[in-house]
Formats: sequence, C-alpha cells, structure tokens
Amino acid sequence: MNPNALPAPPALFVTLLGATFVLHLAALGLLVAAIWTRFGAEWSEAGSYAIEPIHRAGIVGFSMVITLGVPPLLFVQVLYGKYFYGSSIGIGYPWLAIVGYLMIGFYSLYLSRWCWDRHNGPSAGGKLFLILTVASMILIGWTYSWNHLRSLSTTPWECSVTAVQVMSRLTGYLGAILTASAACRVWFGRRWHTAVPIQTGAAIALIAGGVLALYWAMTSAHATGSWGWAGRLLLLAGALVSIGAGVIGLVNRGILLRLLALLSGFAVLSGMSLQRESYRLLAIGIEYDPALRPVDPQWSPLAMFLLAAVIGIGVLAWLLRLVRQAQSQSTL
Amino acid sequence: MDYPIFDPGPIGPSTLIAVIAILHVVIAQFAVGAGIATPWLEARAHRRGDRVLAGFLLRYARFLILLSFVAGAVTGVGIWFVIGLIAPETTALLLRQFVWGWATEWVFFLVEIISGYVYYFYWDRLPTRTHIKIGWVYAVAAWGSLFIINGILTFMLTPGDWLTTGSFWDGWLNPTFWPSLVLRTISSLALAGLFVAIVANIDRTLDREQKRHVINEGSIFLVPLALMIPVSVWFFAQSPHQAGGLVMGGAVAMSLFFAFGIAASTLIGLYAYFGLIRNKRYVSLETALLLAGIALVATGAMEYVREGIRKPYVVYDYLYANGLTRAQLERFDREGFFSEPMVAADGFEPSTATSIERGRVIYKIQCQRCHAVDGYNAIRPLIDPWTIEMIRDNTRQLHRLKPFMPPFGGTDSDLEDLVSYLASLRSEQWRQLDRTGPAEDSQ
Repeated sequence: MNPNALPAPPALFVTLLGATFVLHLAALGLLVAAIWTRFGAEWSEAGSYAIEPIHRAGIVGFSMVITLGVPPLLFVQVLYGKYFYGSSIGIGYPWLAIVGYLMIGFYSLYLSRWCWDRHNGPSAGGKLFLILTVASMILIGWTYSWNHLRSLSTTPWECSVTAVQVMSRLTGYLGAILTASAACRVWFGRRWHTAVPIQTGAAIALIAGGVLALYWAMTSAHATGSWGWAGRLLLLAGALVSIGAGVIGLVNRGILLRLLALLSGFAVLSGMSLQRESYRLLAIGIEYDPALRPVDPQWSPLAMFLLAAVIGIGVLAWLLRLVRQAQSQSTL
Repeated sequence: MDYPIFDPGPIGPSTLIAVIAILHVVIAQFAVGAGIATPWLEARAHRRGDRVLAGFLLRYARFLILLSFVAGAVTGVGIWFVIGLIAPETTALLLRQFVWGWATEWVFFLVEIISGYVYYFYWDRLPTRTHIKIGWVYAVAAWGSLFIINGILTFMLTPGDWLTTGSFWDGWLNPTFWPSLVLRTISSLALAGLFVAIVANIDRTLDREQKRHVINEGSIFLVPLALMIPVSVWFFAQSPHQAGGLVMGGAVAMSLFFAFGIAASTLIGLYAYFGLIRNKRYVSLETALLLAGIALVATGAMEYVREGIRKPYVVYDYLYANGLTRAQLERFDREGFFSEPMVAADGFEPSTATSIERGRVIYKIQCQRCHAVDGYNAIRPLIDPWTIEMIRDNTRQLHRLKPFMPPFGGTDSDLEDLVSYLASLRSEQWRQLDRTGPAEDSQ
C-alpha cells in the first residue's frame, strides 16, 4: 500500500480538472448574465422584464456555480495538494471567508427578488441586495485568484502576490466570463425581456469580452508547451469569434449570432482553462511533476464513478425533457 | 511534514471545524430526510385528495431549497476549506484514497440539486405522478450522497482491512459503515419531521387545525428515533474496544454527550409516537423550535462523540490526531524529530535554533492541532502550576495517562526541547517558584 500514490493516471486528473473548471466558469457565465439583466430591471422600466425566469436563472446559476465548483476543487487537491494547502494556510482566515461571501451572495440575490415582490417592482432594497451579491462575487473572485497565484509558487506559504497581479488575473477571467455570460443572454434573453431586444447588450459584451480575452492571449506568458500553445490558439480563436459575433449581433439577431456566441464562449473558456493548467505545470514543474507521481490505480471505484456519471447524465436528460415539455405546454 | 501549520488563534482548530461541521451535518441530513419525506407525503396527499397537505409541501420544498441547496453546499465546501487549513495531511490522505467516492457523491449531489429545482419550480406544471417521480429521484440522489460520504466518515474510525490491503472497498465498506448509515438515516428523517412542525407553524396560510393535521402527518418521520439505542449498541459493537470505553466512562465529557444524544433522541421518538401520532397533539412554534434546538444539540453531541472516540487517532491505528502517522512517530523515537525535512515558515533551522525555539516547532506540529497556547483547550492554564519534572513526566507518559492523547514522538533531546518551551509558557510566579527553572535557552 502506498498512501501517497495517485488513484488514476495523472493525465486523467489533469483532464478532469480542466474540463470541470470550464463547466464551473460556464455556470458563472449564466449567473453573471442573470445578475446583469436583474440590474437592468432594477434601473429601468419594470414592465419589460420577465422577473421570474431571470430570478430563477440567477438562483439556479448560483447553485450551479457552487456545485460545479466542487470537482475542480477536488481534483486540484488530489494533484497539487501541497501547493494548494500551502497557499491556503498562508492566506488563513481570508481564505475561509469565502464561505461567508458565498452565503451573503446567494441570500442577497434571493432577498433582491423578495424586495421586488414586496414593492411590485424596483426598490432601493432590491438594488442594495443586488450590489451586495456583486460585491461578494468580486471578493470570492479576488480571494480565489489570490490563492491560485500563490499556489503557482514552489513555496506558496511564504509567497507574496501583489494586488496588481491579482487584478490582472481577474481581468483575464472577466473577459472569459463576459463572453460566456453574453452567450447565455443571447440564448435565454428572449425569456427574460419582453419588450426591448436584450441582444444589444449581449453584442456589446461579446465585443468587450473578446477584446479582454484577446489581450490576455496576446500578453500573458501562459502559452508554453504544446498544451499551452493549443490553449492560446483556442483563446485567440474564441476571442476573435466573440468580437465577430458581437459585431454581427449589433445588426443581426438570428441563429447565426446564437451559434457564434455559443462557439466563442466555449472556445474562450476552454482556452483559458488549458492555459491555466499548462502554466501551473510550468510554474511548479521545477519541483513537482504530477506525471512522475507513483500511480496505484483504483479501477473499480473509477468504474463506479463513470457508471454513476452515465446514469446521472441520463437522469438529467430526462429532467430537461420534462422541463421543455412543461415550458412548451405553458406557452400554449 | 509537508505542510506549514495554520494557527487559528484562541478559537482553537477543533472549535473552528466543529462549528462548520455541525451546521453542515444538520442541513445536509435535513436535505436527505426532507428529500424522502416530501414525495412520500405528496403521494399520500395525492391518494387522499388532501389539498392542505399538498399546498403545504410546496412551501416546505421552498424552505428545503433555500436552506440546503446553498447553505448545505457551501458549508460542505467550507468543511474542505477548514480541514485543508487545519489537517492538510489527513485531508490529502482521504482525498487520494476516496477521490472516486467523492466524485460519485458529486454526481449524486448534482442530480439532487437539479431534480430539486425541477421539483420545486415545476410544481403545478407537470402531471402529479411525474412530479412525484421527480421527488423520488431527488430522494434517491440525496440519500445516495449520504451513502457514499458515510463510508468515508466511518473509515476514519474503523479503517478495517484497509490498513493491510489499502483497498478502496475495504476502507469504504468498513465495519461501522452499516450501523452508521442507519443512524444517519434515522437522524435525517427526524430532522425532516421536526422541520415540518416548524414550517407549518410559520405558514400563514394554514389555520390551527390545518397546522395540527400537517404536523401529525410529518411526525411519522420522528418515530424511528426510538431505535437510537439498539442501533447505537450495534455501532459500538463494531467500533474499536477503546472507542467504546471512552463513551462508557473513559472520557467524562464524551460519556455525557453520548448519554444526552441518545436520551434526547429516544424521548423525542417516543413523544412523536404517543403524543403526535396516537393522540394527535398540536405542536406550537415554540415547542417545535425547542425540539429542533434539542435535536441540533443532540446532533452536535453525537458528532462530537463520533470525532472524539477516534482519539488519539484521526484514522484509527494509522494517523494520529496531530497528523503524524504511527510510523513517523516510531521513526522520531529512533532518529529524532528533526530527522524528517519539514515545511516551516520564517527559515527555521534546527541546528542553529535554541532549545525553546525547537520546542516551539515541536509544539506546533505535535500539540497545536488540539491545544491553543491560550483560548480553547489551552495549554498554558493546564501546565502553569506544574514543575519542570511534572511537565517532563506527563509529556513522556502522555498516552498512558490519557489514552485519548497521541504519544510524544522524539528522542530524549526532543523531549527536553518541548519541555523547555512549555516551561517558558508558565507565568512568572510559577517559574520563580521552580528552583530548577526552565531549561537554559541554549542550543
């Protein structure tokens, strides 16, 4: 028995870490899109917004951000435990504060809807709670990026990271999230807004997100090694498609915009995730290479997980079918 | 010793873990119990045409979502955050051994969340039978996540054959797996029943008679609590002998907590049967909150016992509560504490450090996990009136004097370093009385 051995080949964990991080960011895109639209509803005429589906997307989006944030957290600990824990311990209580920020963020979002119902439209309380949600999300992003940057050092417990470095990192994420949230707005916007076409805002966000992602791809030192280059190319392609989709979106709001927005969102998030993991391997590679870790595969537990995943996907597909049926019936 | 040490200050590491863990256990077990209770009650309401109960269940489902889908999930992640700071080597061991178990639990959790939202948001928009089916999907997923995590939690008390085979299945399906699963399922159902009484009482759409009807319907889930005594006997029959000894008088606090947990659970179960089901009594909001408060304290007490009976281990017979393995401590006895490279901030170098400085590092690694210097379970008031000889003898015989304490690991020289540091923590008054004084602050 070697309790330090990895229970599966490292490549599998690296892949799962990158893939689940993309899902986590995609859920964040949905949440940002819903909050952004809620802001619109609070600061403009109330009647043109369908508050129920926006609120529902926000609540479900927040839950999904948390739920889909669990697997990357799991796999990063398995692969890079020493660096992750070393960095977290170096930060200490501010790292734990994320638990509080998450609570404040979700319940503020819920209370903003409660204020809406109480006042039958926009209110000072609703605005305040929305601002609290956004503030808590910024604090979460800041703390996560702070921890992540520290964990890229071989001595994370004594590594110092400047605010400018964290800010720069967050700017890159902002580009990716803007693109993803614009894609969500393009896809769900028709349910959220009953009068003014919501796609104008989405088109501007696609351009802004694309520019930020382009800047990130051009200037960051993340692109090293074959995977790093693949990530950079994906990010560049995603950024260009995002800008293109945004320009098209200003004049054409058909299926082309929706497909391009989806494509750019996927490419930017995947490219960012690939670059993130390849840079991590580069940064701590002097001291630690997961590929050199002893492996003691647990094939039957892995099979259990895969079986559960297949059944789970089947159940989720069934649930989505029911939801679509219910929605089409209610539209009728 | 791959990780630096997190010092949580006077609050103490155990308190920090306990606060988040107890909160999470209560919310997560409520989510499991309510997951089973809701579709069961909905099917019953549907069969009987009970519109009062059916209407109540929608509001109960909203309460479930608001409480468990975020607070439950966040505190679950919060436990990872806390144990990652306080016990990184234990966390790393558990994650490496059970990563596929955790990944499977996450699939259950994802299905639980999504089916829960569909169940709530599409309450009146799906055929009743389909809606009840979705409720059961939620119930299976919620209980499935308990099924998985239960094996990982019980592994720490009874790792069983894992100690020799290192097999995932031997560790997960360990000797206390089944009794613990039954205990947690009973507890989950009871929390669901208690929260029916609370939500019914704050539901302004119900009159008193309707509230009583709903509470009586939900009280069926409290009855299994009456089985706590036999199931606990089963649990302890499967536990290590020393663990059973701790709750049977070996550690006073643990015995009291255990007795309270068992007595409170059994009495609530009996009250539910005789008071609520047979005599159809009404439970006011105050009484419901009182019962929930007792259940919360009982759950906390049982979690305290569960954590406590593992001592001096965190993974029985393998990893001590201070994060050091048995093999490590044996090596320290032979080769010295500082023979193993360690991660430590501030450039500590044992060969050039003073005895007190070395003792401080030994203290941080071997003692600080349970004892803050001041604050919770503090070391200073404990040793303040002791002479140096008393500190030395107690530290050397620690595991014999107090069976729930890990043994000291190190050579005589390491012991002297730790004694020097501990002696330096005493107040001036006691140090002056000690003629021999603390060990010289020299290398």
